[in-house]
Amino acid sequence: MKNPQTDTVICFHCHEPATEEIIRFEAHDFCCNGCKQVYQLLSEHDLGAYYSDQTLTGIRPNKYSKKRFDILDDPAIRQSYIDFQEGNTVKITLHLPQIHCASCIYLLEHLSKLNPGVIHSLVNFPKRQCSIIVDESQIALSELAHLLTKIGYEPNFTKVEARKSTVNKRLLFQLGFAGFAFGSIMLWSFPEYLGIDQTYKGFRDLSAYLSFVVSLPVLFFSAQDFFKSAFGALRAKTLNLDIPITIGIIALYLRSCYAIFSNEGPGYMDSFAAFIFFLLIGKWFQNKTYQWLSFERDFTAYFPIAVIRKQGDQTELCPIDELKVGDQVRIRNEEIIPCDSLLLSEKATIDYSFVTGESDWVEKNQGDMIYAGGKICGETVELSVLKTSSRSELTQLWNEQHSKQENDGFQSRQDRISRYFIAAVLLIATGAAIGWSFVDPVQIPEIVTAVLIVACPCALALSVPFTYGNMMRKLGRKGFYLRNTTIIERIQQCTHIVFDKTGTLTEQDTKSVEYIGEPLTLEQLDEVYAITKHATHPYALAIHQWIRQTLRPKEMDLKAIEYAGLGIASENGLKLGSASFVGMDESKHLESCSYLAIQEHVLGKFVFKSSLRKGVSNAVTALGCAHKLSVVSGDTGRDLELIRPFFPSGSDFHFEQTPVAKKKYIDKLQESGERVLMIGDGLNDAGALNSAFVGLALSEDLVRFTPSSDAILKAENLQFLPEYIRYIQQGKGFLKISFAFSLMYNLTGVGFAVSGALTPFVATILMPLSSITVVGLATFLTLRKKLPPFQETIV
Amino acid sequence: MFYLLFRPVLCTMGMIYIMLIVSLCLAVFFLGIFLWATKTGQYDDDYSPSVRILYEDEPDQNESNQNNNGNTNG
Repeated sequence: MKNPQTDTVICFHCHEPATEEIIRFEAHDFCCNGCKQVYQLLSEHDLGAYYSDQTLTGIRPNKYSKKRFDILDDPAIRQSYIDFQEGNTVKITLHLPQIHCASCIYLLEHLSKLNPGVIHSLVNFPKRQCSIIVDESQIALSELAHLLTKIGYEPNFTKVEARKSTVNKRLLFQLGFAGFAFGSIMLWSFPEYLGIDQTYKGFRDLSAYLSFVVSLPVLFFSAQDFFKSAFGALRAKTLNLDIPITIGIIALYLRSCYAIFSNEGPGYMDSFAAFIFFLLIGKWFQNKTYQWLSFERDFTAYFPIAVIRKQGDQTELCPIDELKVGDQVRIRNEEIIPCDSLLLSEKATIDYSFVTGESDWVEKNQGDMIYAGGKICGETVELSVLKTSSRSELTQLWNEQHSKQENDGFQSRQDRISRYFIAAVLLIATGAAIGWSFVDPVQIPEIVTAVLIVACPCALALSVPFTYGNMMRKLGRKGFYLRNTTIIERIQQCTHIVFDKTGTLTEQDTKSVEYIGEPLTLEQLDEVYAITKHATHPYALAIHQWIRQTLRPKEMDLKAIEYAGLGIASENGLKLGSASFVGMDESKHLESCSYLAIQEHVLGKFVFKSSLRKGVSNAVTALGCAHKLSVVSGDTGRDLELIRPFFPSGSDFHFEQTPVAKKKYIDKLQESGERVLMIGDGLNDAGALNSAFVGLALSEDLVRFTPSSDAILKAENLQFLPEYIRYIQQGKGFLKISFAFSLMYNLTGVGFAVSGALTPFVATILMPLSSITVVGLATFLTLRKKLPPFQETIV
Repeated sequence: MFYLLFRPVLCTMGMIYIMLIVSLCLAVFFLGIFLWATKTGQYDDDYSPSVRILYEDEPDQNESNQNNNGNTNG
């Protein structure tokens, strides 16, 4: 399949452009072997319908993942993952974060076609989970996990128990009772609206008493939370919007009870139930949560569950909490070092970028101390455990920072205006009482309750949930996930944006390679390509990939020997490796590079550099217009020139910062009155994200680990952050318009109340009308604006 | 016979009493269903059932296209 605009080949399975290689199979093009295999697997099992919908894309299986799932066959460990077991039949619920569309559900629920050992599978989409029942005599659990990985859904085994059930059932129950009462009472009140009189006293009384009975659960169950919140605020000597709401509700209810028991009719019971019903709908709308995302992960989610332990000549799987000091463990390529330990193998290359922010790979020699958290690149290494994982440097750091102050004096706009609201209501009520004392003092209680009833800020209370709730949903569709709606107000108030460098401004995994030195011929590049083909060292792999991407090298066979940690030498005298390997003085060459030599003559070097994320320079420049900017990085200052040009003058740059120093820097800024938005991605930013006014974590694919934060942004959409923040700023305006409308309704109502013309019928019309206008307005204003990227993703 | 028995009720205001009771029973019935559905977790996943119903073992072209339009689970 070809993309008509760019003329690049688009993969039939994953719809990504095929940049590296093109594989043709059964008249379709594929970008990699993984995609081809998934296609093959699906078409062999008559699941070709998966492709019948051209707009839904498959997932490119992660070819670098060499994870093994032996842990699922270990009787002790698997116990915490399986739901139940009856003979050979096992039910297991797996978290598959890659689930993203309707096709995924189709594929996963037809697993039994791919493997007869699967008896049944059922997807829970909001939780990104799949419950699978298998017959273990036909397929082992590790094979099941392997099968899922093969079709692109790699199970995530971290912290299964932490996946909470967030559909708030209590709120739904409350909503149910309120809706029931609202509908029933309004129906029974119809004769009242149409002017029923004392001729039908029996009926009037019956409907009034029934209304009273039905309203009881609404008052004591559905409205509970508003009362609690109002009393809580009073006890804490603050004001919030629930206080005028509570006053209004109680005034409404008491007035209605009085009407019912003095045989005047059902009073305002219909308004009362409608009122609670609408408020609860607002609350329900605001309570949108992203169930499959975790905003509060701790370090245990980052570490593997088990590692391979060597015992004499044998190896076995061992859960990491059971590792003891002195154990020998084996860590393979791409695996994470679970605890502080001593290197037993000769050499190791470790990627600490996620942990410390250092972008270069670190080379370690036998006998060196290795800290937990790093990722092994290249060959398998053996380690001897020095400290258990819960006591390692990394987790110590984590344990220090539990202190996110939930109560940092932040008050939402809604609560701030409530104080004026309460004052105005009391003023109007007193004014009306004084005025009526000259006209007809008997009417005073009636007038005062009427004022309290119509001044109840129902529409006002709906403005925030619907404005911000809509914005949050809209941002969520663009890959910007907020923990809750108060984060929107927090972002509006931020004055200073602090960036991390490694993994935030620069790409996390890909390094750009640059060749410096005498020009190379194409044959020489082909030779370099050939000798790096089977290498294990990450530098060699990076060079190999770079050559493949920049030019189309010829495949050739060239025998080469790799010297671990030093370099590669080919049979025809080509050498690629460290400075000392090609015969140069190592101490003078500290930058991260590989040297190339032919017949002992050094031709040049391949330099590895961090590459900037796409579009990040424009984004930073745009953000600099309204905010102060800083960079804090754990890396050395060598990339300063790369990033400085697009930062406005006066920005702060801090390099070689430890995680603790980063946190202190944020604290210092906030003490000087700044409100900081911290953007980071790694474990080293965890402290800073936590103490910042808003912590924003970047995530490459929403699958990988992110430190706990207030918001998660898809890394590829960082370039659109200025647009998102501008949209969030516009939210203030949207809210003001909604507020103005709802206050207008309140004023109209107060006009009726003060003049003594408020009847239950007027209240019944005014209240839903104001709520519906405000909800409609908020929805229209927030959804009108288009946000990039313009292709929607499903949440 | 039936009509004669209920005639006094049906021909006066009594009718509206019956309506009142019926409406209450109906509302209670619906409330009960809603509470039961919530309790048994039928609102836990509001997306996959809508997709599942469209995928037969051998769906034809129209069916799978339709469910592309249904991705509004925001």
